[in-house]
Amino acid sequence: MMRFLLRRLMDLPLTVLLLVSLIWVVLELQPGEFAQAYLGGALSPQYREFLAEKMGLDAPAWERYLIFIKNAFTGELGVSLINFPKPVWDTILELLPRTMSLFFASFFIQLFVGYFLGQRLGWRQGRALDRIGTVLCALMWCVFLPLLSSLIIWVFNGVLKILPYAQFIDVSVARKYPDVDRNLTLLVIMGVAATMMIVLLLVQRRLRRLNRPGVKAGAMALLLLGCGGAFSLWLTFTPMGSVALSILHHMVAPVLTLTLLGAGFYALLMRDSMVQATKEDYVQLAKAKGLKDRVVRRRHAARNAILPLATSFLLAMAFTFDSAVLVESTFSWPGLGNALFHSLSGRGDMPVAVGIMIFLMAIASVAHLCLDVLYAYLDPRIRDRYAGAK
Amino acid sequence: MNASHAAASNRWTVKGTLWRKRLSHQWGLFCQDRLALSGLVILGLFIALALLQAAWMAMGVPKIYDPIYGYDFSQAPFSPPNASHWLGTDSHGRDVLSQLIFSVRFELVVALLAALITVVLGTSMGVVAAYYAGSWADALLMRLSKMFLVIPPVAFIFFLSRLGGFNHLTLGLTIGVLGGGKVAMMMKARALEITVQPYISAARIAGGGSLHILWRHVIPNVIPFVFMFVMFIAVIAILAEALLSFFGTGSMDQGPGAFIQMSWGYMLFLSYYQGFFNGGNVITYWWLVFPAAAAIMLFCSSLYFVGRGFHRMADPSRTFA
Repeated sequence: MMRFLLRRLMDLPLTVLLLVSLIWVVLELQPGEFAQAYLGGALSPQYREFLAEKMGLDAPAWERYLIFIKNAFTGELGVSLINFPKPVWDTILELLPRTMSLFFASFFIQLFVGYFLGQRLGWRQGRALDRIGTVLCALMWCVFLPLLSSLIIWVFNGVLKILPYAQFIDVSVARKYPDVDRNLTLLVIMGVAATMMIVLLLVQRRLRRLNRPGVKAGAMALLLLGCGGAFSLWLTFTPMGSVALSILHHMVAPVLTLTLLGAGFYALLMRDSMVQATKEDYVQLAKAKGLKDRVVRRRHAARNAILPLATSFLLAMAFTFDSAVLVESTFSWPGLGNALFHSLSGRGDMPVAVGIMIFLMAIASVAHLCLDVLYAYLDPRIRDRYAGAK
Repeated sequence: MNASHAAASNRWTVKGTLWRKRLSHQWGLFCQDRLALSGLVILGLFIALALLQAAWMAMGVPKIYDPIYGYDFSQAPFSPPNASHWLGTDSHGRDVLSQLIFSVRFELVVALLAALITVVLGTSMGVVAAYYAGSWADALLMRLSKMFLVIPPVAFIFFLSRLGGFNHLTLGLTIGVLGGGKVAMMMKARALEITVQPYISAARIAGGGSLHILWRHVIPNVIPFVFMFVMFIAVIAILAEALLSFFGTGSMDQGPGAFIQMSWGYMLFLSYYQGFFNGGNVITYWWLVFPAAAAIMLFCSSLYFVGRGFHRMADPSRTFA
């Protein structure tokens, strides 16, 4: 396992280096002088010369490449041209928690919904419900995202009037508590959610060993009530809680959109894998033993159906990133995706766009590494391939 | 001379028969999946409509049905579906149905080009990496494909569209290259299973060169598996095209950006730009929004189901239904 981890870790900088080089090549391929193309025509000539000298844009190509690589790896991504003296790195760090919260929330909900939906569809394969479900999932996966978000805004904001329209915090709340750090609030929310998930998972595993369903259900209900109660008290009575509540309220619509979009895809993957799993001998054996249908489905078939998803999932990961980027711009959620859009439209803000692209790709490589290691942990066969002679 | 000629023709007859038998068997497998079959029918319908319209336009139709320059003076713009315009007219008084069908050819170009390049690039990279597993070529190709794997395609295409204009050809090319890198990894996994088979060693001992073994023994065995992933890439290509012409055309007048004259995404962009996505307008002026969106949905999911059908043909033991 150590060896595997080391190999993968060594690959990471290389992948990022290749990605940065790709971005550089793309920038170099632009017609005209590099500095002019990179900085655009919006700046005054003195500023452009100053920046070009500072960022090393006048140097010969190979030197520019080395400077570009060095800057990318040391986080010297330049300064924004629209918010002029603000460093790109500060912009990224400011926007990162907002994107991450949206991404993680929608990602886990997508996986969860897809897992359970696909498991049901695959278990009753060939029935009318399965066919209808499969078609609906495929259609939802191919839906046009801007239209879906417009429809959701119309239904929940226009007709039902229960969700806010856009942005990520109510203006009244923001004015009432000006000194609450919003990014810190987001980090607290994410931390609380992650801790709660882990605690619930651990407690559930512990309780399952007792083998007494009644006790387990009761304890879980108590725990959920307790956590939920504490959380809602925090949300109602503390300043940070109020800010958090407003942010969560604004997060519902984008997360709903992303879930509708992505859950269908994961459900399809899970369904196909589940169909395969139901043919296996151990599932037949479990059925023959007289275990309950539900138990066979959840414990025997679904657990084993997760692994074959690995390859398809790796293909889909980049697209999941994409939809998170897109949904930010349709809901004007002030995250990295929205900033990327703004920096690419109108006059343009190339340093910000380049910085965000490099950062997104680096994050995606790290996510890819994490997934790789996770699969190796879940599937001993992959681990053994590295532990052996090779 | 005569005998050898007869033998040659006989050989071709045998080959043809075998080929026909295999094809009919595969077709039977494909037809078992009713979803794949209906996907194929829907795709065929789209293509047939596109061909019909092309022929009809070449014959010289009334100007009111031109998808880009047409204008019907007898009706106001935004007129709802009626007898002469089955899906109504848009803000410029152009026929929506005509635009919808006219766009099919561009979607096909994007999808087919992306699919073709993905097949060629993905298969060759994966197969070479698997055949020379452990060598520097393998290391290089896998690093490259890992690089492509982590690039979010739509965001990257938006980034590129700022630097230079896209048309349907370059868009299909770009998505194909990005997708080929992605698919190479899956193809390597498949090809690794083939290269350890005894018949590969047998071919090598019999004196077959690397190129011969790759072309005759490895590629035919992995190529059927590529189709499912390829359809996936084709779907992404169409969605990316729609999203690019939806978001990207805003910067068209300010220099390089997307240059896409007509597509489903562009139709949606026009409706959005004129405010038909807002509030109840979506329902009131449904013909400006839903036909194009439904076309994207139907086309993409048909591609996906056809890809599943292909996968079933390649691997009948893997059942989807």
